[in-house]
Amino acid sequence: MSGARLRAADRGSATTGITIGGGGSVSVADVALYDAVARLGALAETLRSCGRSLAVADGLVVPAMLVSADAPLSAMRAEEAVRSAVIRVAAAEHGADALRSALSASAISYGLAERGASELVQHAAAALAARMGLVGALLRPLLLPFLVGVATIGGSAFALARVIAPDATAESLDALAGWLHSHRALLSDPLVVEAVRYTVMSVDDGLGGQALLPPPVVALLGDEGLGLAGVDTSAVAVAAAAGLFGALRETKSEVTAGATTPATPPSGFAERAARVPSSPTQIRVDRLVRPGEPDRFEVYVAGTADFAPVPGAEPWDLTSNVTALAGGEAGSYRALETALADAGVTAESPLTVTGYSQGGLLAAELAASDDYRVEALYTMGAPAGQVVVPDSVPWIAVEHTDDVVPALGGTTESADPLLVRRKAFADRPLDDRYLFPAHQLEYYRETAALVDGISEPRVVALRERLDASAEGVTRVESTLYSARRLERE
Amino acid sequence: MPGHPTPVTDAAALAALEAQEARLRAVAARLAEEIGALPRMLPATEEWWGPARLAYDGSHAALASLLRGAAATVDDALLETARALATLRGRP
Repeated sequence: MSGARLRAADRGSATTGITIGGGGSVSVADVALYDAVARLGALAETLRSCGRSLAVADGLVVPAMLVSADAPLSAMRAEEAVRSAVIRVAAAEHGADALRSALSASAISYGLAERGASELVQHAAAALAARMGLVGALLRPLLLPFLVGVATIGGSAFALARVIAPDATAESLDALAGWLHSHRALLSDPLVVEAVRYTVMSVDDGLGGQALLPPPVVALLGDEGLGLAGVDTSAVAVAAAAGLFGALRETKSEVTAGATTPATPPSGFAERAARVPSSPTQIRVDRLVRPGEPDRFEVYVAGTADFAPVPGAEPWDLTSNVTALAGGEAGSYRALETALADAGVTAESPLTVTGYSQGGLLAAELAASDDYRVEALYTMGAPAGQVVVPDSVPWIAVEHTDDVVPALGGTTESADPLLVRRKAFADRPLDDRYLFPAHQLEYYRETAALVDGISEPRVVALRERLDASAEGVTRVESTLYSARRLERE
Repeated sequence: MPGHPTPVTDAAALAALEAQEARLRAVAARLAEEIGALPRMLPATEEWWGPARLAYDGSHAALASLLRGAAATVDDALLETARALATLRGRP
């Protein structure tokens, strides 16, 4: 086995548990399976080469020559053994090829089965949500007084408690936070994450039922039908409802550029993940200068920094998340556009965009818009499943199966990213510093380093596409941008 | 003619068998390397989907057997070639 292949085998244990799917193929499987497919292909090639070499060896010595030379019997036996070896090596080559084909076929079968199961679950969840919504709407006259009573009494009691016993109320809230923290294993369970994904996809169906629409009409309007309603319409409804209470309302924002510093061209997934900025800066724009050619740009966009429902100064907040999911222009998206314009990005500038969490959602929206020339897209933990990124934009989406945030964006039925998934806490305890440990950028950076070691052709092709931005670059100028919200609109 | 080899014919047979031996040695070394690497080719398959695991577990043993069989035959050919060479070289 060659050195390269030994290294691939060594890597297998580190990348086992990473699944790859999409990216123009129905094949879905663990990286270890794709590694085995590659190794079997290399083995078959080696055996083909051995077979050719044996055939040449067989042709070197002909029986007439041996007879003429009065060669010993062992020479004749050697001839027979060589011919037998040619046949046996060919059989081994066919065995390796057959096993490689069987594994490839099983990856395709798995991908098809997973896709079928996903559609089935989505339809079932949508139908259930529509019927539950309808039943809820029909029972509303009966339940409304009760619900209003409970809400009024509960709200009054909470308000009174805050006045009479503020410490006790704070303790209760702390206890709630503590309960959530102690149950973060549940929030990080891949099954719960998938349940959240399909629930998000079914909210529009539930709202349709609430509006007394018959389930078949709801199905026709929803993601499973004409696609007129979906995650975006649900997010619009949430934003509208929250807006009544002064929450999730968009504002203007301003962007400040930091000093421009020299940098090097990026290479691979881990290096790009390391360049994603964190608060108080949200955007990094690297200008890649190529003599005699238009500048290229590498853009890095940070994740949500503020989860409060009422917007403060931070545009990378919950309000921007909901607005972006609703398909509107989030404050963070406008800030990103401002930063790009300041950096000199035009509609013709070639862009490679890397985004984490909300930054990934914004990056996908950039790629989906007609306003920019995004040549490659790399998202980590982004709720961007429903963004319709054109197939012409190569997109790698890295998700942790124990991270609920990407699930909030629903399924990836609208686009076909190369989806690389890994359970961040498969073989170690959850990081108790965080409520959602698998969503933390530090763990996505860890996964990015593993993705760099994957030799599966789709991953390699995407890495090469990302790194193509560095070709012919003589200078890189890097600028960090920080944005903040201004007054209400 | 059998029993009456000419020196020229002996030299030609010797050269052909030496070339064959060199090729067989190279093939034997590559096959031994592949056989030695077989255990490393088996990743942890516990997580694999049923059909993938069945395909792998069922066929891997058969593939290993085919490889070992091929390598043994090449070794036989190598041994017999070496014997023939020794005999030819020992002739006056």
